[in-house]
Amino acid sequence: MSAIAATATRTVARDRAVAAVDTRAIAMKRRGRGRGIRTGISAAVIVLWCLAPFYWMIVTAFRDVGYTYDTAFWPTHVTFDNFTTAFSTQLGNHLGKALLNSLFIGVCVTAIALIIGIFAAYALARLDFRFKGILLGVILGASMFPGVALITPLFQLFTNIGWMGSYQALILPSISFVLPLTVYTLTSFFREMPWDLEEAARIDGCTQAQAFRKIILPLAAPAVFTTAILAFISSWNEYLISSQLSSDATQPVTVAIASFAGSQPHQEPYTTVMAAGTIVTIPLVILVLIFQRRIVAGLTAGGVKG
Amino acid sequence: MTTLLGSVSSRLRRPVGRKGLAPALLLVPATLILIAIIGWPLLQLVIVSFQQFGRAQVFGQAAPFVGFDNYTRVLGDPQFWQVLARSFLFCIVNVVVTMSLGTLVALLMTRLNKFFRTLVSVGLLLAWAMPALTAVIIWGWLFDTQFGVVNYLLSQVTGIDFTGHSWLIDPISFFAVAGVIITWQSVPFVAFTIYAGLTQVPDEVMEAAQLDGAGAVQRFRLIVFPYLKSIFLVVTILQVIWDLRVFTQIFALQGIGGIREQTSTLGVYIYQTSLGTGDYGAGGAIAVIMVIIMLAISIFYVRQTIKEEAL
Repeated sequence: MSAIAATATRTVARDRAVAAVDTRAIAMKRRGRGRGIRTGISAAVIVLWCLAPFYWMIVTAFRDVGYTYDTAFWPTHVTFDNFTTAFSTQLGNHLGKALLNSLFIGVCVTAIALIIGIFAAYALARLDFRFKGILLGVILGASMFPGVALITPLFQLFTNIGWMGSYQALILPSISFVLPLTVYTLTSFFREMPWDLEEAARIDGCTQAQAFRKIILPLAAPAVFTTAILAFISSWNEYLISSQLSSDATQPVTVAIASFAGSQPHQEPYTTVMAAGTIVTIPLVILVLIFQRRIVAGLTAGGVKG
Repeated sequence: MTTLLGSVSSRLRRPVGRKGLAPALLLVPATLILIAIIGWPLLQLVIVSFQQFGRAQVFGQAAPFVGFDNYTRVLGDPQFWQVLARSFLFCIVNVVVTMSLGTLVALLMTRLNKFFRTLVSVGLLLAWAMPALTAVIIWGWLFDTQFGVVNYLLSQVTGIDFTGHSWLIDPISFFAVAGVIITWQSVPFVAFTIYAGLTQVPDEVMEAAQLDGAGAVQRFRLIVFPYLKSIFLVVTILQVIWDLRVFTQIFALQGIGGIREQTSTLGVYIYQTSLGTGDYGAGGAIAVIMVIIMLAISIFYVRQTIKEEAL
C-alpha cells in the first residue's frame, strides 16, 4: 500500500518536473524565435560573404566588354563573347590546352598519390613497426614546407636531367605536396575500418594482400574517393611551382590565368579574365556541389591542407 | 589446449605485430618521392646557402664556398628583419581573425537546421576551393582603384567620393586587403573542423550546464573549450604555418598594385632575392632560416597530432 502511494507521489513529482521543464522549453522557444531570426540573418551574411566574389566574377564575365566598368549589381549587357575571347588563342593564351593540362596533371597526381598513399596508410594504420611515429612526423612535416624554398633547387634539378617544362616536372612536385594530405587522411580513415573482417578472411585462407584487396579496400572505397577529391582540388589549384617549371605547352590553368591578367599592359581585360576565372572555377564548383558532404568529412578527418 | 589457443591468438595477432619487410616495402614509394622532391632540394638549398651563388653559377660556373657569409649578410640587413617582423605580425593578425570568425561560424552552424547548414557549408566550401590566384584576381577587381565595386559602394553609402582611392598603395591597407582574401579562404577550414569537434561535445553535458544556469559564454569557456582544446591547438598551429608561408596572395596582389619593398613577406622576399635579383646564396640562406622557423612551429603540430593518434 505504502509502496503504491510512494510510487504515486513519485509520479506526481515527476509530472511536475516535466511540466516545469515544459514551461521552460516554451519560454526558451519564445526567446528562441528572436534568436532564430538573428541566426538566419547571420547565416545569410555568411553565405553572401562567401558568394559575393563569385557573383561579381560571373556578372563581369557575362558583361559586354564595352560596359566593363558598369557598376550595376545585376547582369547587364549579357554576352558570351568573353568566353570566346578567353578560349581564342589570339592573345597568345592557350586556355583550352591549359584546361586539358590541368585535368591531365590532376588525374595523374591523384592516381599516383592515392596508390602510394594507400600503401603507406595501410602500413601506418595497420602494421606495427619501429620509428612509426617518427615516419608519420616526417610525412606531416613535409607538408609544412614553404614551396617557395624549393623553386630554385627543383629548377636546377629538372634542368640537369632535361625535364624542364615537361609534364613530369609538374606532376612529381605536385604529388609530393599532395602526398602528406593523402597519407594522413587515408590513415585516419583506415583506422576506423573493421579489421576483424580482414582477419576472418585470412583464417579462411586469403593472404594478407588478398584480404586487403577483396575485403577492406571495397569498404574503404568512400574514404579513398573522398581523399581523391581533396587531392585533385589541391593539384588543380597549385600555382607557385607550376609557374616556374611549366612551358607554354604544359602550363596548367592557374598559370594560364596569370598570363591573361598581364597580357595587355595598362589595360586589364577584366571581362576576359573573369570569364577565364569562371571557367577555371567551374570544375571546382561542380565537385563541391556534388560531393559537399564528403569533402567536409575528408577535410575534418585529415586536418591537413596541401 | 593452451598451446592451441596460444597459436591461434598469435596467428591472429601476427599481421598487426609483424616486424618483417612489409612496412618498409609499403612505405618505400612515399618516402622516395618525398626524398626526391623535398629532401634533395632541401639539401641543395643548404649547400647553396653556404656558397657564393649568382646568375653565373646557375649557368654552370663553379660556386665557391663562403662559409657563413650569406647568413651574416642576411642577418645584418635591416630589410630582412623588417620582412620577418612584418610576416609575423601579418600572420598573427590573420590567425586571430581567422580563428575567431571560424569559431563563430562553427557555433552558428550548430544552431542551423539541415537546409541552412548545407547552404552555409556549400558557400564556405566554394570559397575554400577557389584557386588562390583566381581569388586574388577577383578581389583585386572588387577593390580596383578606378572601377572597383567596393569603391563604388563606399561612395554610395558614405556620400564621400571613393573613386580613385587606391587600396594597395598604403602598406596597411594593402595588408588589410590581403588579410580579407586570406581569411575568406581559410575561415571555411577552421569552421568545418571546429564544427566537427562541436558535434562531439555530449548534449547531456551542455543541457546540464544550461539547466544549471550557465550562459552561452560560460558554456563555451567552461565546457566547449576544454573539450575542443586539442582541436583548437592543432588548427591554430596549422593556420600559423599556412599564414606565415603565404606566397601567392601577396605576390599576386603586388602585381596588381602595391609597393614591393613595403609589402613583402618571407616567401615573396625569398623569391625576390633568389629569382628577382639573382642572389641565390642569400635567397638560400633566407629560405633555410624560414625552413627552420617552420620546422620549429611544425614540431608542436606533429607532436600534438602523433600524441592524439596514440601510435
